[in-house]
Amino acid sequence: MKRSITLVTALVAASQLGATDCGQVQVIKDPGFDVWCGESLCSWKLVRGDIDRVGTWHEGDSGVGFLGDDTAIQQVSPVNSTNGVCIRFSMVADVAENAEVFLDIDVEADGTIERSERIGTSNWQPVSFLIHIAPPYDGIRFELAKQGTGNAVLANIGAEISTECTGLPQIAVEPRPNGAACNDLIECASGLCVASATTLPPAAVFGRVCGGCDPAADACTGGEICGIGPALSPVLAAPLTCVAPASAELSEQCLSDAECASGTCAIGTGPGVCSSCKTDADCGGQACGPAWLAGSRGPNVCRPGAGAGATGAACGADGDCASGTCAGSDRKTCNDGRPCETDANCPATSDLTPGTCSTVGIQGGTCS
Amino acid sequence: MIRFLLILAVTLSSPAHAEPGVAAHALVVGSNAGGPGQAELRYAEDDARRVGALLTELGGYAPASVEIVTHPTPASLRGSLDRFSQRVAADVAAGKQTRVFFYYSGHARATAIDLGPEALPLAELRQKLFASNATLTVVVLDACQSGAFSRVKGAQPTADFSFNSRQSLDAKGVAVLASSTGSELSQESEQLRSSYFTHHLLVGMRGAGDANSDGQVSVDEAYRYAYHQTLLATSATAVGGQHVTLEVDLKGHGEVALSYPRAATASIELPAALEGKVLVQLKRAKAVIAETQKARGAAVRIAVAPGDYEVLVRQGDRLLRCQVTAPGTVEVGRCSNERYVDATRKGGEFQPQWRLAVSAGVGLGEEGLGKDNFRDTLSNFGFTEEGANPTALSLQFTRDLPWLPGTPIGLGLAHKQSPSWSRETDRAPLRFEWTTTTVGAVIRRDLHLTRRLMVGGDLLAGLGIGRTRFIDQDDVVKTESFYGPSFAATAGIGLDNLFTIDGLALWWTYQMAYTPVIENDLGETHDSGGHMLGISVSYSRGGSR
Repeated sequence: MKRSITLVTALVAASQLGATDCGQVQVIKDPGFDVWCGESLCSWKLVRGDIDRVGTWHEGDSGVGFLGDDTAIQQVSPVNSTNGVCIRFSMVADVAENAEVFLDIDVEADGTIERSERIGTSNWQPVSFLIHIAPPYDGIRFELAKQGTGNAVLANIGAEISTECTGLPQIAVEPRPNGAACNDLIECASGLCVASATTLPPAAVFGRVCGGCDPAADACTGGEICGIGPALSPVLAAPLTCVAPASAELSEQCLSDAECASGTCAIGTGPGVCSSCKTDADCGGQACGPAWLAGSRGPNVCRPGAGAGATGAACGADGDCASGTCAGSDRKTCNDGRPCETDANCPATSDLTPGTCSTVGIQGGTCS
Repeated sequence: MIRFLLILAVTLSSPAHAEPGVAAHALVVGSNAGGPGQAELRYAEDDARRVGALLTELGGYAPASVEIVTHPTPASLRGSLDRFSQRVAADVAAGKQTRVFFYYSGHARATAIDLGPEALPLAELRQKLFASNATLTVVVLDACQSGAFSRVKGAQPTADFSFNSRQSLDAKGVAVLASSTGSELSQESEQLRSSYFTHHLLVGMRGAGDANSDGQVSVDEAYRYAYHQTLLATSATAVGGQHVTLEVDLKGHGEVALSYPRAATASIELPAALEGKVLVQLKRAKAVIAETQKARGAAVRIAVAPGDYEVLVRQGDRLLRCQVTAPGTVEVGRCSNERYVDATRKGGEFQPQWRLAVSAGVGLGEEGLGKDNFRDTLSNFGFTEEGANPTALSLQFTRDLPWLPGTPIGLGLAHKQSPSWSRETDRAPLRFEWTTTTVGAVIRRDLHLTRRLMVGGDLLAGLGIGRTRFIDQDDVVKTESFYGPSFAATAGIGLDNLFTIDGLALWWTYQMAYTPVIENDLGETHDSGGHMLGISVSYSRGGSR
């Protein structure tokens, strides 16, 4: 039953990806390079080099100018195989002869560029490409890169689901990385297509993703155990992987007690969280509860928020400690609970709004 | 306008009044068309229709025996004359007495009548008219030589066509009635919507000319009435008094009747005591039926069709407004008495025509006369056209100039709103829109096909002023102005006398414009012109009629 609900939710979310008023699926955000945050594009990330804002047919309609010899911008799109397998990517380009501009396609946004399309010399002409991708896939990182000294300005980029790819060769991502949706174990580099313990990518319509281990099979070697590893990209799930025992700090996600340094993995809805207690009994009869609830669930500690923790006691927030200070590192997570450093590590929402990486509490905390 | 009238008098006979064995035929011709250097006439063809109608209404002619020809070419008129002569000749050959009436209203020169760019020689006309040896023949030529009021002051009348014609005829049983002497000009009246002479001739034939009250109007009575009324009406015009002339040789024919007002189904009687300038008009259509100077002492009956009429009697600075249902009598005691306001100059007096027009239009299809890269670029950059087709409003003022009669020139002002283009963004949509204002010189030409139906057109050349507005995703507005040439050609069909107001016309127009003014930053120019359909209301006064 739980799986059914998850599946329906995933399908609904996928079908609403970037839907415009006329029902056309919008694949990328700010396709016209219209929204600038100072001298940077708000929805595109500068990978290298420098860009500037350039007027096109009218000074009010901006394009992006690629400065220097090697400049690139990127955007990770949550478009996935439930949206379609054919994407028409179009733009208007003003590219000088001594400039080379490429559209790079990184399916699954795992850092591997599967297709690179050269945008030829152009004088404000529209250019377009059809991209045919083998399902399933969970997202795409689009990178626009320019090399050479010549001038290059791109404008009005558009990417939309198309039906014109029949007969075109497909871009196949095989074997699939851990955290990617899968239907069969042979698709996965690990040879394991298992039920996900963390947030499912939209393309995982059967609730299964490629994983590095199977908790039920206990196949890890070298004394490692099956736990939760870091996500390879924002469009992929945080995968199951073999980890060292007791390697997860307080507040980190876990599958079993053995994975946590505290020896306690409190399992609630979704993945567990390394905690200091599971029940009130573990606290001498006093309350055992999550240190925080906002965002992702915090670790269970004794008398959370009561300011009662003695020095050395486990804590998730300053309010847990009698001293008012919970020493540890900031716990930063995306909305789906996966750890992150920046917003770029987080999945975009179905309306193409970039994910938010925010500090929710303290990881590995002890009262000082 | 120089107008001549030539009447070769003939006995008119209706079936009701004809003697046994007498056959009557009438050929009535009107041509508004002007030849080289001649402006279009406005009422010549209408006059022909009115003459033809009166011949069957009061002249005793059977409808089948009256042929009305309007706007003929020389070739078509030759055909009509030949058929006409054949019908007459057949009756002559059958031993019948034949009476022929021929009327022509239009332009003419001393040697020919002008039918647009072509002419029919007078000698040929005479030959065809008299070839059939009819017992009696009337030919009326109401001919205009100069035509344009605006040129009258500087024009020198040439040899009078009707005068020359009269001198050239040596047939018996013939009368010649001319609209003017050999040195005079003839005129149309905008107020009467007719030539002065034809109008008064018809009024006379309706009964106003029946001096002896015997219920019929003879050639001599019609002439005397037309002479006085025409002279009276034209004496105050810039062209000057116009003297109708008559020369007859009707020995053995007795008094020849032109019309039989007593045979009319209805008439309006102006009582003996009534005195003043009388205008009889159809109440609903405000169409003038008769205008006459009524003297005290004798009653006058004017034959009209049954219906409601308004009779206006001007007496000094007073105006009697009388409602009469024909048949009926003007009862002065029941007329309203108003103060007369002479707000306009006398009809026919020369005034340069001016015209004011207001138009609204909507574009047909895409803007511009052809494909332009400007629109393609907008599409390439993701913009889509929104809203309805382009719309335009324009104002035009034109006026006759003495050196360009019938082709007024003036100023035009037009403002066109083009559809906006927009593109969605993650903030507010980008919007781009433009307007084009054109101001320039206009040259115009109108042509009356009938009394109410007109065709016309104009050409405009001037300065186009394009103004663009770009509203960005943060609602910041950037405007730019552009300047360039603008050209437009408009053609239309119009309905004059709208709401029975003289000079007020409604037009349906088609316009083709070329206005390459607006540019983008890529150097591409957009033509804001294109094809438009519109509706226009114009008002004109004065004119070279």
